[in-house]
Amino acid sequence: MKLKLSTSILALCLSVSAAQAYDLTIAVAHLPNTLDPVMENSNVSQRIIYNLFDTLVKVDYRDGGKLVSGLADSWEIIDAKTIEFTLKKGVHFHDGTEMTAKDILFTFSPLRLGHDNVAIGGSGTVVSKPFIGGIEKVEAIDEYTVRISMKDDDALIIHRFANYPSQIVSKSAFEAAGSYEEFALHIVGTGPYKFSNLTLDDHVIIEKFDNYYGDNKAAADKVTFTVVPEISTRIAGLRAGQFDMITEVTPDHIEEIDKAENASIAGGPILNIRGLVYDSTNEIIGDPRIREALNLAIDRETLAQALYQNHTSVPHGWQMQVFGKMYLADRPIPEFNIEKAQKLLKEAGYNGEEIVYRTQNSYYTSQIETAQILVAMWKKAGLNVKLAVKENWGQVTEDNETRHIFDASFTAYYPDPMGQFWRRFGPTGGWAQNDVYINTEEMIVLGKTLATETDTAIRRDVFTTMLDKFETNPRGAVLHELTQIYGVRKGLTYSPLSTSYMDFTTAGVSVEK
Amino acid sequence: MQWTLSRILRSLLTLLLLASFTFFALSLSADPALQILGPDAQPEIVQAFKERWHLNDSLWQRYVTYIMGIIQLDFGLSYRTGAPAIDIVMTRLPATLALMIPTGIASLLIGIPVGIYAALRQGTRTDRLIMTASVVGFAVPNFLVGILLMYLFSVWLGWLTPSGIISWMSWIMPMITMVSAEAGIFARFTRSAMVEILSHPMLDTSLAGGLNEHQGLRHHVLPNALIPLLTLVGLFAGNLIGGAVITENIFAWPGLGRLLVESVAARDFAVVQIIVLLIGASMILINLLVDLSYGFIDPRIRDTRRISIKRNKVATA
Repeated sequence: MKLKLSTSILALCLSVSAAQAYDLTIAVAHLPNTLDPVMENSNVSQRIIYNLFDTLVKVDYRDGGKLVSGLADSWEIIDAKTIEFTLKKGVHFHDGTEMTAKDILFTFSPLRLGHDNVAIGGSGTVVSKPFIGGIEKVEAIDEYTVRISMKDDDALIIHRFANYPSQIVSKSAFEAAGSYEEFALHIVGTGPYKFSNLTLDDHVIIEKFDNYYGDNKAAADKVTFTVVPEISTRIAGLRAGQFDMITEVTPDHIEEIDKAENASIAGGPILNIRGLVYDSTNEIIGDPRIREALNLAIDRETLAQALYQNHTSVPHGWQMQVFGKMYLADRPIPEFNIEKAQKLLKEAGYNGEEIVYRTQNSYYTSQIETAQILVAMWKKAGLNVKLAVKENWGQVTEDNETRHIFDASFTAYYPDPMGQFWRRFGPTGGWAQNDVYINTEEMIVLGKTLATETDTAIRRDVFTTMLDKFETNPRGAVLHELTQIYGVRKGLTYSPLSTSYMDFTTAGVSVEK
Repeated sequence: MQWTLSRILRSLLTLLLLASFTFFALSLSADPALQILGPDAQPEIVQAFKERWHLNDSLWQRYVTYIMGIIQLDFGLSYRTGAPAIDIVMTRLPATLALMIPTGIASLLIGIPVGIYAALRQGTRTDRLIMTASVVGFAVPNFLVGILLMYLFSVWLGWLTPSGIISWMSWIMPMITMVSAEAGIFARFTRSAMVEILSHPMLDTSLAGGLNEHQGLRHHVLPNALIPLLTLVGLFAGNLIGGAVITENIFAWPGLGRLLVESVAARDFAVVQIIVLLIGASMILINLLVDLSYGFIDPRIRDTRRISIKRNKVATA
């Protein structure tokens, strides 16, 4: 009886504590300009939009990337080109309207995804094309059933509607907004939080959406993302109790936060590879043997250890474990072999011609330090690489005779090589289209098979061949897995996802009362 | 009148040059499409962006459109949001002024009396101590002072929040950071000007004529020291809008300085250009007022201007 009574009191206390409201303040280095997913593809946007929107199918990052029901109750892949979704009933947008087929049609309409939005005040610069540009037709079978057809057979058809940028938005909100830009600035989704305010370069506020349909509700009443450009200020604010969390913690500050009494570190590698891109159309590094030598001269494990200690690792080539059946587990990490590099350079007749490596100061974590270490490693192999620090991407990618090497990152938007390796290096990627390199016909054919074939065994073979060929004629280099490190105040527990998304639902955040 | 008119015309020309320089410097150093869309944006997306913002027009066409816009007080839209750039700038201006005006007043109230005090004790240990503190004040970079203050007051003592505007206490650290530098400059300038006047023979003459030290100070030393000091105040006041870029970044102050940094990085031309023009206009306006005030303070300057205008008239006749 006593036990029962104390259990009841405990349960009562817990329910009271769960009902207690709290707000979260997250200090970030940058904010997005808009929160419409198709308008901005950046990590600063992604950490917010996860809380505002849902996709038809969801990826359960906490369960090995399993696909689970999202806004669709069920789905059926009719053939390699066609998929049909049966929508959940009774799901409401933040503006109070019910989500139905008309919203799915609007979300994937040419008006929103195409350039048509220029006519209604949009910038016409939708960045979603590499992801969902292959949609041919979206039809409403009835109010709660939608059929989507792709232009070509698509091995990733289901993943395209489970990931960025397929978040569903409200058609009614668009109609009420008056212009595309107004709509984008006051975006309406179905997520656990609703949009409240965006002040350019200063803050974004999202608030709990009480009518959220999902199991993982908003953990806080309000989350404020506030811009604090300096890492020292973010850390001071965390330690002083002004912030609940801080983002973009650089490796040299991890120890300071870990040692602090009232803060701790969360996060680690995310589904993104930090790497390099080679301009193989350039005469100096046009010979594939020189580019292979560049790759062989990089001691990646030393680089990762020196800069990130145990917070990151070197991937086994252009792939991640999340690829599941497409992950080639036996493939080793990229080879480090100075003798072989020197031999290749000799064969290629390299005579110390200057190779320019364009980098920036801090677009990526420890960017300049990474660049300096790489230059020293290349020097050991006899490669004369000159570092050119640029102010912006325009200067980095400017197409002239000194564009040889530059920095990049490779997000695995889909758990498949098509969502990472071939999305970036394939013929539809920005670099191929901007003449950074020209893919061989053979690679293009292999890539086509990878994109359309649905037999996993065949796809694995094709991917293996592609990686082998890429190794001897590389367009870029793997360095290490990109990290996303957060500082978290004492009393708050944050369970990070393996992506740039930040999860402020009850699955991601809990507060010690 | 003619002098004032010529100053106004010169000011407008300076603003035109400033606007032109900003336009060309920004236009030639980066492509806003790549800054906003990201490095691997597809060519057709970049193209759509350029069409939307008329970036395919020739540089001169864009320049003429831009200058004509300024003349009509149409400053354009932000590339990043499509909102009127002037609205974005105006939402951030109050925070900057709210920081810079009290900073300026505090710097004057501390710097000038300290400078006078040091000058009157010239060569003593007090003088040397004050001057050393002044040099340290303006020699130590703002970002270092800011971070040290933050670790002292926020991390160790836990008294102040280090970032943004939370309460009146949010002003303490940014103001100390800037006042320590500005007051140091004012103190040194005041001392130098005072020492020069104090050694002038006219002061001995007036003291011999029966004025006491206090009267001599009030009637001869301070008014004469005021002219160089006023120039310095003019420079500071003209820089009210753009003077806190570093401090605003350290303390995440939601003002124009931070907006300027982000907008330059994104090549958000319209926003940058308004801020630069605001800084330029305020600098020109304040300096015009300072120039005008010289004449009120020192009648000799007024007379010199009159004579110079008369001479010009004779020469042109």
